[in-house]
Amino acid sequence: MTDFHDVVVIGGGHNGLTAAAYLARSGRRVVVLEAQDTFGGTAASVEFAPGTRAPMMFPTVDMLHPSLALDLNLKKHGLQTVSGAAQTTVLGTSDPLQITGAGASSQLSEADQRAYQEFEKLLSRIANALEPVMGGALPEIEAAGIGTVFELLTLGWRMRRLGRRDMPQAMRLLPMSLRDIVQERFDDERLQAAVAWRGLTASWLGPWSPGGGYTLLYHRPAWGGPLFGAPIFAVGGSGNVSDALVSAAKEAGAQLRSSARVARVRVDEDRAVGVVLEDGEEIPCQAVMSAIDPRTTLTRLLDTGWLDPDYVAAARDIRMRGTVAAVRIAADSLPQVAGLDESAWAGRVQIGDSLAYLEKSFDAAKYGLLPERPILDITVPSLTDSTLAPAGTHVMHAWVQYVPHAFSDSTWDSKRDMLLKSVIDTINSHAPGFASSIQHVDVTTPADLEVKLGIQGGHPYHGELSMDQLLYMRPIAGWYDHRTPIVGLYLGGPGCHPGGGITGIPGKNAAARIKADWNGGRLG
Amino acid sequence: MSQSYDVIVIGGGHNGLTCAAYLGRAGRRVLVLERRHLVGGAGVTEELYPGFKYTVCSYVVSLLRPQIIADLELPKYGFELLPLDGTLTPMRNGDHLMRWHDAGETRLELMRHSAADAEAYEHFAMLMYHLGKTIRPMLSMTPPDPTSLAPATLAKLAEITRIFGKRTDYLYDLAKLMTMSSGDFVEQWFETPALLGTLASSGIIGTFLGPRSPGSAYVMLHHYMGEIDGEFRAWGLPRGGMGAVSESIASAARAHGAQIRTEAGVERVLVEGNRVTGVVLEGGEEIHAQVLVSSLDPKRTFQKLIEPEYLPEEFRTDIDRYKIRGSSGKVNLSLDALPDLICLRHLSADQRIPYLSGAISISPDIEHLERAYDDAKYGRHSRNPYMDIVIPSLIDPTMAPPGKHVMSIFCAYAPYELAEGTWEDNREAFGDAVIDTLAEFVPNIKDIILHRQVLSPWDMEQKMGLTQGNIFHGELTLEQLFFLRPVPGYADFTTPLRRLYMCGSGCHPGGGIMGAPGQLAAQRIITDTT
Repeated sequence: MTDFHDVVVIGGGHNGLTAAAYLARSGRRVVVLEAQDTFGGTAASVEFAPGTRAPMMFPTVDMLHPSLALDLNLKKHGLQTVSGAAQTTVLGTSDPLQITGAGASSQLSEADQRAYQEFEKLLSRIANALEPVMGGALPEIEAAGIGTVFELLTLGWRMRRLGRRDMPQAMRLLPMSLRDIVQERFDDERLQAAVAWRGLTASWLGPWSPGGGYTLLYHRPAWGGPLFGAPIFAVGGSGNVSDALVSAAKEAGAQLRSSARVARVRVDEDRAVGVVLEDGEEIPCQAVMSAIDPRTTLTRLLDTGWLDPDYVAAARDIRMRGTVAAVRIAADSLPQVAGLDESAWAGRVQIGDSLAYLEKSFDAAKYGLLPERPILDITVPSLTDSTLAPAGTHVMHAWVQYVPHAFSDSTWDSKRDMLLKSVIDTINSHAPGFASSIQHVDVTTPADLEVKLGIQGGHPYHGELSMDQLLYMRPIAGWYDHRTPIVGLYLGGPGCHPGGGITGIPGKNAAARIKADWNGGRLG
Repeated sequence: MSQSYDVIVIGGGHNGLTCAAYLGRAGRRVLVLERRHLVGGAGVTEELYPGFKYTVCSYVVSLLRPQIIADLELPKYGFELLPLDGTLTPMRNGDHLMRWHDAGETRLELMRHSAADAEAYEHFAMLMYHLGKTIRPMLSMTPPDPTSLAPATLAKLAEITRIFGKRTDYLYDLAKLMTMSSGDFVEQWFETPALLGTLASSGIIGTFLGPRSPGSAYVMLHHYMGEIDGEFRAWGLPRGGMGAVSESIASAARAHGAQIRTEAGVERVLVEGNRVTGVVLEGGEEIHAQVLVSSLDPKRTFQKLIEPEYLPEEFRTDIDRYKIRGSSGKVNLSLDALPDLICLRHLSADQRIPYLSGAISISPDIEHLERAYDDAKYGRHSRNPYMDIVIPSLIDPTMAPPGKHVMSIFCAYAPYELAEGTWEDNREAFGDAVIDTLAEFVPNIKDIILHRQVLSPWDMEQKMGLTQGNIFHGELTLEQLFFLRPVPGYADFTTPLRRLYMCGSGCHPGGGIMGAPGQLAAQRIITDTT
């Protein structure tokens, strides 16, 4: 293939596809190069038994930014979503706790329900104030143009509008540990664990670690629902989003190539001039946008001799230790938990009902061990979406945390079965007999993300969301604008601001940056 | 007492005394009320065993503002710092890592462990120096209230922008330092476990964080900003123990006309409407003054001395939420002889002295610290604590009888709240854990102990009045710094009550023997009452 391309997008996950679709719509000739034989990356659905599908990593799509669906007309391209039940159930060593999306629960004291509702309101107000930053690109602080000043003033004004009380409260909340956030508000340990867990998703942080306030807000964006709102599933699994993006990108004229693994980015005089595939094929272009993780892009695809050593060191120092495994289960009946109605499984079920439970699980992963009791965040999408499995079969997705990205004394190959057993035992301990109704299981570990999808460290967000890897410091301090020191090489994956999960925002922002650079004469 | 005062300072710790001295210097009639029989608060020297003087709690100086030393002419009143020449980290394999005050010697020593580390160390030291310089102006500034749009606030924000604007090269490094864990931060630079452990350990002092907890890197800088005679990063041991520092400030305050009463614990603050009028002492005596300033921690001030009905509800909530977890203890030892460290056995007795004259850090690697923290998270003292040790008698022979020694051991972690039992039941077990861990590196330690004092956080609360035994009057976490310290809206040393001020370590810029809160509060009071 010797076509000339304006932009080569490395990686056909949902951010790569998003960027490709936006760029193609703006008239650029784009090719997406995906190493796997299918598109979607971590935002794919996996057929793990005949006729049985489940999301690979991310079970829900509630964080997808609404602008994508509108701009790219994703509905027309097949994106269809359905809501589960607006109910969260917390299991563990105490009695189950059930709480509705509105924060009502017969098991909680009036004071706790009120405190939760107040807290949800506070989060909602802060999320709204921060929406331009969390849902868009960061104002460019170095370029002190009128536009930037205006953006910064707007942001300042939005924060100021929170009021004399809430503004400092918001600033206080962001760097706090989730443990402190929940303990100063709620008495019920299960409620504490349920709120804290929402902020710990995918993180290399425990409830004791500072910085949880930010990650809690990250996972409860202004455009998403409340903390305990209904899970939003894509029909056919989260891969449905990627499929719709594939269709949108193709329609806009982007070329999509699977089984095309990029070996190297070609650089000439500090300018990206093309990529070389593993089989030696060269694809020249004007710009390269990498949606794969920044460390791999900058240290493996590039000859680092082109780069400032400090920049290379910063790229190597990006922390991306995966702590998540996903387990998919096909079973012929739902787990039967004493005192729990089956309808609970149409919402979210969390196993891990105290801060100590969560923290101890993190402790193990911190030292490179499997936790004694993993935290499970379970959804059963087949209850809402009947296309996932043959009639009579339920498909369950368990987000499992904390697992180590690497073991201190062993490898994932020898631990995979142990993890599966631990997950099934954990569910079975609450729902005796469930194990015998299991027909198929499938697991994705951090090692799988590393080996199969090429994400170093196996972190689904391509970089931990810890305070020093956020905002203007993501992916590398000062390089938050998707550019790199190599002209024409851009980063556009979840390793960029604002981060991971199925949001599409990094890809969209990167495309906007490339477009602007083209119009500004930096490219082309 | 019929005498009337302009200002009553509650609490005679170093910040209260500093505040009093500055107020006296400005011509105010000042009375300092101290509950104990001696001034100094957590900075005291006590002879708890005949001939052996313990610098009971706080033991090293690095943060005391040079301006305060100069303004109050402290050297005239007996203040003298004896430099600590380096830090020794014994390693588990019998080797050691010694960082000397002299950069060249440190480089040679580091070369022995890792050439890369020796190389990186100079760059690291330079970066820390610049970061310290960048943040230093903030230490002598009263934080603005970002919710206010008053001209004074905007001017201050502009000033901060200007200060940082001059040092844009370091802003990202500073942002990283403020947000990273001390362990992650130092791992960007070094590879030798003992170096990593020791550098990271200064991030966990006085704050209930582990070396893997984000935010601990800032605490590290807090300890790096020390200056003796204008020189960064040199710890100093006060001649005569920390009590001598407090005494010198007290003398300066007296010289400026302040009265200091010991054994005069304040029981209650008198409030009329929304202003304070005086205090009631524990014996019932009432003393009135125009202005009160409390150097006690915020919880003690607002939860113990003032009836809740006088305080706005939101303020009370914020004070409730103020984090002041004690996480460390102190073990003070009288020793019959010098400790025999395995890692120094290849040296003659004389050669060992310089190694023992600095700090000795039991921090062989980051995991040692993190595991110590893990124990404390669940409400038990560390089984293998982290320790920062000094032997003051080696530098200042007046601290112990000839040939004998005192050893001061700062040890973490010791959580104030225990999952099981009380500190009265656990105190000696914690002391044993400290000594047992130390014995791995110093086998003769048990044989040379003549007397042992163990201070748990609970003891520090009982003795020194530090709520929950937190040595900084509140943790140095991001949400409790600068304009959020101690609580939003009151980072300027004022309180919701008129004529009541705060001047303790719970205020910006925080704890350590720094004196800055006392000085800044005095300035504020002088401005407000002129």
